[in-house]
Amino acid sequence: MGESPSNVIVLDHVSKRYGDFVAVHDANFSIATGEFFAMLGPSGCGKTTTLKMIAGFEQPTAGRVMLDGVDVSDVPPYKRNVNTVFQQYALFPHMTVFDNVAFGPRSKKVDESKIKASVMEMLEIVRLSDFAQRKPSQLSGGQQQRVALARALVNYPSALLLDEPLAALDLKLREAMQIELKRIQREVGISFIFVTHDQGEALTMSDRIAVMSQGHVEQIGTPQDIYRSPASLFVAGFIGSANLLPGTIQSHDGADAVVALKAGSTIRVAGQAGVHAIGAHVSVMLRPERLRPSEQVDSQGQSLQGTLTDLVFQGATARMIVHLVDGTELTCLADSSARMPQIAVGATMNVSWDADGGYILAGWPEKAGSNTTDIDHIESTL
Amino acid sequence: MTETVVRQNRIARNADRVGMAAMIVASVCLVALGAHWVSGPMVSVVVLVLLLVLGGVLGLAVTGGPEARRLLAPYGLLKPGMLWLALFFLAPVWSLLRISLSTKESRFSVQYNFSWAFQNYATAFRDFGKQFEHAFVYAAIATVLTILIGYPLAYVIAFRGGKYKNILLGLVVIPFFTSYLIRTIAWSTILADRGFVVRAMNAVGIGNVFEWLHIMDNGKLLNTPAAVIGGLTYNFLPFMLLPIYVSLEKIDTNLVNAAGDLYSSASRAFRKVVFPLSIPGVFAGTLLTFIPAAGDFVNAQFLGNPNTTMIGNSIQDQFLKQNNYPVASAMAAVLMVSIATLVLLYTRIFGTEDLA
Repeated sequence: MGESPSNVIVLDHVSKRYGDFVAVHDANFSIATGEFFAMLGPSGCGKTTTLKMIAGFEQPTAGRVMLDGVDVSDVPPYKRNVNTVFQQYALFPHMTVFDNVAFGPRSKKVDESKIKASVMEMLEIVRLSDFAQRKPSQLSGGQQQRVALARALVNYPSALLLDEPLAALDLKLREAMQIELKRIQREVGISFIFVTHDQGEALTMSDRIAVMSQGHVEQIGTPQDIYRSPASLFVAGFIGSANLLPGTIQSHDGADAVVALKAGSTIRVAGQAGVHAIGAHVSVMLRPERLRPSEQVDSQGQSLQGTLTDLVFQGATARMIVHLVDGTELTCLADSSARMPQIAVGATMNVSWDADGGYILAGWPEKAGSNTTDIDHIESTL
Repeated sequence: MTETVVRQNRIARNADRVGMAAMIVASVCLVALGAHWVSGPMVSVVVLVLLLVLGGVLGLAVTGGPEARRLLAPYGLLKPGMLWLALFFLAPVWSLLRISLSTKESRFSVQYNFSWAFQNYATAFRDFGKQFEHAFVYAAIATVLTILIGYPLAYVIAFRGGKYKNILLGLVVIPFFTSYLIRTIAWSTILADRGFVVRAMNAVGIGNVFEWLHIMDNGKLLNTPAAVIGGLTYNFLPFMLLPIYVSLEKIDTNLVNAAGDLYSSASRAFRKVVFPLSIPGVFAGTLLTFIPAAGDFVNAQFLGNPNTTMIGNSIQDQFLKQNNYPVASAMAAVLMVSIATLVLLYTRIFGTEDLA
């Protein structure tokens, strides 16, 4: 585990237990200076507990938390050079925006004349200079969010921790704030570590993502890595939407792995030869946007036959639900332009993809096929 | 359209004005009846006017259609409260002020004649200055003591009470299921000269310390100013504690976490965040404690001596024993106005408009 100075935070085999319950199990990763790092997972996965251990509100039961190369596991929050943006912002309601932002520097007994300059500069960065004398209750949700950011950033912490920072905002504002957060992060150059259950948010903003589930870190990587080559079935299902087809490795042919699907047919997955042993239980992940719907059999790539059961127009794209012969449900995301094949609901059709469009994961999923239309699944990730 | 229909429509359109006028007229009628402005056959006339006005508004509400009902609704909702205040607050205050400016023909007369007798106020100030002073000083000290005792208690219950919060609050309130008088008399037993508290203090030898602090007087704990203040403090503690508890309980613990996160020690977090946010509770508690404590006469009667008499005792004495209603009324009016002035000043100085 590297402890070079470029790593602002190092979690060294950190665990947290509450009695018999393991909230975080052996978290072991580091976060680089200036990095936008996301901890992503469903509620109860341990991401907030991990954040609290970095902030100092919780102490690890095992392992060390290193900040700027120093073990801070037993240092109280007010002596740690990290700041938190709380989920509901926790702005001080009895103080003006200016006094809220000046709270940290005043705690540190910074000279009042310097405070004024740095507070106004930070309010400039979050574009709230005109609101310095307002009370938090007079601001909109997005403005309160930016005050919370300014209040934390004015201290120039080694790292900024954000706990579900956008959860309280409505959709449009959330999208605008994603871009705004990224801009502010680039401008101040401080590491942002943020916790979210929203995979879209994590993919949009982060340099790297740690996907967590039930206290375990399932995978750490760039958004592209995690999306293209998920480390587990959980990650595949949690990040984006995925069609998971269970099968068995039949053989390796050149660079291709040949998989006999439980559904009956045999398909090839390019570039995956030798990763899994012959006879191993695996799942082939097919992203909906890699699938091509067509009326005829596509001779070029891999294909499966099924029946179109539903077609949802979504603007730029159209979502097609295809039931394979054995009843497995696939989701297919097609370009909704005029070139889209005109297939009637109920008609037999083909779904095809290039051999390098699939990705093989170990194990069989609980439920074969698409994971996006299952309301229980979507709700359980919130 | 006939003429009457046109007129009805005009009334319905102005139903809000009709409603307000009816409310004012009805209130004046009730004050007139309650404060004996009218007598003899005029009483029946006023009652008739009152019933006609109320009946008229009711009729308008029934026949005037939805628009008229909508306009009448706010006054309809205000009316019960306004009429209650008219009969049970405005009328008595009017009577009190009137009697305070009246004279009696003789000491034993029960008839008062209104005569702008401002000498009643002069008497109230001249003869009872000491009692006024006691009332305000004792009440002020007791209020400060209830803050000093109540605030930490409320703080611990609100932030450290956990699942025992409601039990702890219950323990604070349970003693008050017993009558006020009985609890105060119980204190006179506890603090009695031969009671265990005084004996224990003398046995341990800290009696002198208390003597020096002017809490004990010649080996006595009962019948001292300290006993009266102690009684007031004890009796009004929940009125301070509960509002403070409510305002502390509302504070989001994340605010305290945020203060800690922003490099504040626990004591700075308390000074800058928790305490300012609990001021509305302290403010409300102060009013709820000081106002009744200043008018109290029970504690001074059972725990005090003739030199600790508070104004409440004197007013009671003038009303019920001396039968001197004019001077008693003047004293009550002075007490009322002084408390109102003090509260107004206090509100101006410490009022927390945007937090309340």
